Amino acid sequence: MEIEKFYYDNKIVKKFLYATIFWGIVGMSVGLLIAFMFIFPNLTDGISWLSFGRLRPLHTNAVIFAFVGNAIFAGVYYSTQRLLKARMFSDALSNINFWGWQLVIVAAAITLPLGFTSSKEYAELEWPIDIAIAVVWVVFGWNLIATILKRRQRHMYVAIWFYLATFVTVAVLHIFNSLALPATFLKSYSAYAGVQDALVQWWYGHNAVAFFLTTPFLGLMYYFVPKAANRPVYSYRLSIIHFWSLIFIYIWAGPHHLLYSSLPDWAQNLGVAFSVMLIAPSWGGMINGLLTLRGAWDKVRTDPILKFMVVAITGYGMATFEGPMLSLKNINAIGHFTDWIIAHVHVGALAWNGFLAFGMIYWLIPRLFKTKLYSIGLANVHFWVGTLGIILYALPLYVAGFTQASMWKQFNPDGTLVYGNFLETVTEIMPMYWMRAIGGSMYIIGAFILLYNVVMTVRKGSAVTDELAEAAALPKVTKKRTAGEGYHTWLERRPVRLTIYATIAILIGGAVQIIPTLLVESNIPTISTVKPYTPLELEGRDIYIREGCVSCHSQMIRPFRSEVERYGEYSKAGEYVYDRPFLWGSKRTGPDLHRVGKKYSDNWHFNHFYDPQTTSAGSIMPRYPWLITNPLDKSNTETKMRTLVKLGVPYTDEEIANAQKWMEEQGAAIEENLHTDPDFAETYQADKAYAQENGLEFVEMRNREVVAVIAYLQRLGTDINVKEEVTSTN
Amino acid sequence: MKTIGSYIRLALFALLAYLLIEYTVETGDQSTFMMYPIAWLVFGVAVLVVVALEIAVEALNSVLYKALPEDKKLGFEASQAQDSKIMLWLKETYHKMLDKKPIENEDEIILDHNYDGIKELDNNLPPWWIYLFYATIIFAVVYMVRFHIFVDYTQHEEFEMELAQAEKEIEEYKRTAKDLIDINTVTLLTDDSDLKAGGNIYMQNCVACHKADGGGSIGPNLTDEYWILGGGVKNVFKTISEGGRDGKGMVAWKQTLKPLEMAQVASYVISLGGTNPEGAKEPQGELWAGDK
Repeated sequence: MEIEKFYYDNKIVKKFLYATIFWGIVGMSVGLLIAFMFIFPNLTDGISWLSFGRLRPLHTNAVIFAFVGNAIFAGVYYSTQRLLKARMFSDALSNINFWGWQLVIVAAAITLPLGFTSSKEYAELEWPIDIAIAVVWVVFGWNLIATILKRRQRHMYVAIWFYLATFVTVAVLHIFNSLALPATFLKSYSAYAGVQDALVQWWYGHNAVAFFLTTPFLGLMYYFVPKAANRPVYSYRLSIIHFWSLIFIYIWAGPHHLLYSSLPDWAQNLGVAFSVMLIAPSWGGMINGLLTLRGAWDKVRTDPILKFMVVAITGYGMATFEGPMLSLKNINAIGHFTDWIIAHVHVGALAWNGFLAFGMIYWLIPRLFKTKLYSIGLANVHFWVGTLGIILYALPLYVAGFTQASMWKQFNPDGTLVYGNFLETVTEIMPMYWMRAIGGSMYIIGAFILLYNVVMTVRKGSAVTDELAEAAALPKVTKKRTAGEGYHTWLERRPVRLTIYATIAILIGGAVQIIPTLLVESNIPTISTVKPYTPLELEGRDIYIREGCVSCHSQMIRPFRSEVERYGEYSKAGEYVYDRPFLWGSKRTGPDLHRVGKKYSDNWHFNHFYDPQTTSAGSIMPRYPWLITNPLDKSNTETKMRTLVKLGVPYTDEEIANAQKWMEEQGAAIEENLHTDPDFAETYQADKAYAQENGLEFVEMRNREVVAVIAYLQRLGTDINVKEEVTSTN
Repeated sequence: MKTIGSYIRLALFALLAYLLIEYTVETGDQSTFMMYPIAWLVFGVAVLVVVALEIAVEALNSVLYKALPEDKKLGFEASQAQDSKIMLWLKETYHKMLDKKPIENEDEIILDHNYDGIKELDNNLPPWWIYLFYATIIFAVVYMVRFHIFVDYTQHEEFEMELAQAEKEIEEYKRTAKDLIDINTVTLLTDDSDLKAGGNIYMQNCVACHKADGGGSIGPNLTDEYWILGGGVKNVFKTISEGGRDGKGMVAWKQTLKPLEMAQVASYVISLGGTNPEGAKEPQGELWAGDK
């Protein structure tokens, strides 16, 4: 056998590592900023692109796709080459992958604060960026699979299986969830409406956690933990069983994000059943990780890299136990919409993803620069500051979630709510928000310590951009060699077959849940009084989406006595048939808004947007002064309506032709209502007179954004109260 | 306090003591420890006594041990080294549940793969893990059979049950409770304390729309004799409780305020009549001449 010489591409790994650190710090800083906004709601007063609703998706996207995403690529590019004994298939593809991904992140960092969002969680980016993501992702997969095909190692190691499953599933999830019809360059409407959109979104959202934050990191764990501990992997057969069961079962669990919602009962039940079955497959990964350290625990005591990994795997174990527990309906009834969920996801993100990425960085940097880590001591400091940060972040939020949920549900003996004012349940947990912000600060301080340590290490080392390696080319396998070969061993040298089987495994669950929900009409009982939004309401809804109101306000009243008492009749599936995208939300920092229509006067909303604290003392909602001054852009209304017609919304041609007039009328009515408040009338007329005197342009109130949002809010949840015979278009 | 056993005993005792104090002292719905903070002192003393006992027994043991002749000391040590039956059983079960090859025998199950220096062992699946997996699968099947095939109850039915239960409880409460205020029984309160309480509620909840002096801004002027939904304590109480006109008026306050509070604030609002504050809003609604 002839030994071949070749070079590993370390340059691409280095680039991805730098990007990981950079975006990690950016993403966490945005997170810290919005954590402080809970305490000082007007921290970025009046700056629309720094408001909470717009920064929240920036934080989640930056942490998931920029920080964790780059860490995945760094780890995959490093380990794949070595596990396959081959350089990446194409340096050009590697670089397109790198620069393309950074471009997507920069595009996200610009468009999200500007309010271009589809509002679907972790998939907020608008359609041109979605297409770019798909292209870059395919480039990554192409590069990965082509490298596998020219490998010098016959069998594929378990890490590679996880990478393949990740590639396939993320592609499927991303494409199907992002299906939308563009109305303009940066505005599109989801291909699905209401309940269907919710199901597809959480099929995606849950599995973004599964196949972006979990499976690739399990792959990384399978490479870096045995490497760092210098111990064999604990159990090969465990890795087979937990790999297949994990990817098969995970995909079914999405509906547990929609328990007690208007999603049909059968889909919810499937979500519960499969979520509970997820415990063992998830823990299979944890066991294999922790038991690999058997015989290396003395090293754990001294080596910060192993410490990071141990906390990461433990955090993974905790989060994957908590997840199935939260999927039980009676526990979900408490945890859902509260800070408990925020604590839960941060145990996963900070411990599992963050700490494993840190451990990997500390392990890789010295090797890429042929030197030793600048300071083991600093790495230890980072470990302890970070661990304390996680504890200080998570524990208070568990308390906050539990406290708030129980306050929402308490009744007086006469049948009234003990805490009828939602604000009481917010002010109660303010101390917890303080502690969370402190915990988060500590975690970021840790990240800065890492940055310093990395910079110092790089300075004293010298980069090895192409690392020499040698291995023999793969000879043809003879029948003799493979006689008595186990089935899975056979599969491990058949990458295409393995990829196809993995694809089948992940398609089943999604197909069983989504296809009937899309096709079987009885899943969403029609309510005949539910009508499409008027053009002005539609524009208002788009502003509601732009401002990210859904980050803090749900539109889903669950069938609980406490919620019906507080908000009104519980939400029905048929009410959402024109909601593209759905806006049920996942967190109630503020109250639910599904039945807010007609509850308050137009003036109340106007004053509330101008300064929430004047109408609701102690509110932590920020001010929205720009809504009051911005003119409403009505130039695309007809285009938007026509796009929605294509998706099945029954606007008539006449309605579209009259859209401008219709908006003018509805806006004028609201403007007139606003004059009920003498203060408003006085200031408004004064502004108008001033503009006229000085020849300035003056936008009538009926043509400003706030009026559209008020129109939308006053419509919310009112259609089921409309009497059948009244053919009101409003 | 040198052995794990002593800590376990202490923890068990503390738990027992806590539960005993909690459930033997009659305090109704409230926790004993909330009602009588002195209970913490009793609890603390009891725990301290147990700590002292443990230390004393340990000291006694060590004295007795030192008093033993040398040969008996050896025999005693040997008996100590042997695990009790329970410990043995625990250890055995623990190892059975893990089913892992001892590190020394690893070479028996190491696979001949070598992935960039990474080797794989082929330990058996941990039995506890498999049992856990089976248990969750059984749970899932039972769950689907119960809620999907036999439809024990849907989430809508669950809601109806919750409502029915609540209705029964509220009815029960209303039958026995005294002095309940509702729209039929509410009367104008004139006590200073009631008006003061009403004033406080007004300042917290009403000023955003009616101004501190009742002159009105978003909402109407409350100091004149004109009322949109009728004057008099009954009508005002009703408006506060149920809210004003849809989309134009006030929200319903019955979820936020208790009936007595609504009566107090209604009385306070009526007491503002005729104060004629500066800059008050012009009258809205109809002149109210009815009973006061």
